[in-house]
Amino acid sequence: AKTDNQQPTLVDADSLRYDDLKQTSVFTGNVVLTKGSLTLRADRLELREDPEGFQHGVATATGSKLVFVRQRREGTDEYIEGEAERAEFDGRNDKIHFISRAVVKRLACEQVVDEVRGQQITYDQRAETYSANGGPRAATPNQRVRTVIQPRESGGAAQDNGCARPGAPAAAKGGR
Amino acid sequence: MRDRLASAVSIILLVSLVAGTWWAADYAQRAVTTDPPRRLTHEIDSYVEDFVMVRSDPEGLPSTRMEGKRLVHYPDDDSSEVTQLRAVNQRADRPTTVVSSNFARMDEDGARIDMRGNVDFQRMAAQGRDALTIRSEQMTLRPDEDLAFTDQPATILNGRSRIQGRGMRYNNVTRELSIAQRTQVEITPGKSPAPRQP
Repeated sequence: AKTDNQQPTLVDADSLRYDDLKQTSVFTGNVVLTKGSLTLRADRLELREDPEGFQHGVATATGSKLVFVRQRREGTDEYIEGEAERAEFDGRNDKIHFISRAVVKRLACEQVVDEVRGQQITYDQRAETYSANGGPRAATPNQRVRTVIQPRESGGAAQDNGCARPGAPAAAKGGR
Repeated sequence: MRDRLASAVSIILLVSLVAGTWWAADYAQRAVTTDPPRRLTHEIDSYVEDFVMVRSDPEGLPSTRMEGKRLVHYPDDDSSEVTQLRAVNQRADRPTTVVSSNFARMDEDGARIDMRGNVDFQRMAAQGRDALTIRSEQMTLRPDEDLAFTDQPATILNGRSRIQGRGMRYNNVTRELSIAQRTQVEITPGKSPAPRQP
């Protein structure tokens, strides 16, 4: 989502340790990062700024919790939601790498349209595509990449008519 | 028997003479009031106005320079209180820091400065790093260790980021800033104004 790049980055956390020499900040304790439509929740976030001013971050979660990332796709009502034990985002070429037990879902009007599971999934924010590969710590029983694509109603692709207007009864669509 | 009486009389005379002079000396001693012991009460014993005070480090180089409107000194705990203090702390190998506040209290022979009233702590831009500004209502400084910390809410501005939180602690030696609670950071996009040599 290109517009997100122009938005300020807001980070809320319990504590922060900022090293001015190495220009890195380490946030710990219910970290919430928001930048435009991108939101990220983790237990620990290390944010670094390279000389050209691009931000690079490594977010990890403690215990069995996963890092959660959600971002709106440019100009649509679709959202991308990603979860993994570790998320690295690269501000220079706008990529988010979800590493180990990675699950990335695409949602239209809060309905999961498709879902990919694997060990590492890279989501390219610019091209809005994602690529996945399997491995020992994949989120699938057989350590391989598994993609689930939901059937679309005939001719009723969610993006064309947008979501059901708020307030209109959503009885037509099954609950998630 | 007569000479015994004579010697007794002379002895008595001598003893009384000695006692008399001893008493006279003691009386003279008590009559002069010696200086009263130093009043160690919490009352101002000296004050300076529009002062500049420079502390130097062991090698004799000026390390801390303090200016202020009025400094008053208290003898009992050897502390001093300053209004409108401005303290510049500079070391050869470290960026200069300038701190100002409405009120400051120095004790432990200037090793600890407790500052109150819109405290403004500035670490000058150095080595390609942006300047760092910390503002709070109260801040404690330890100039010799180049430390600044506060439990009050503090706002920190550095380059394009703006940090708020409580329990701020900044160490100018390791150049590390830590916030203990409720950290909120806002980083505006775009290139930061300062020159960015690595």
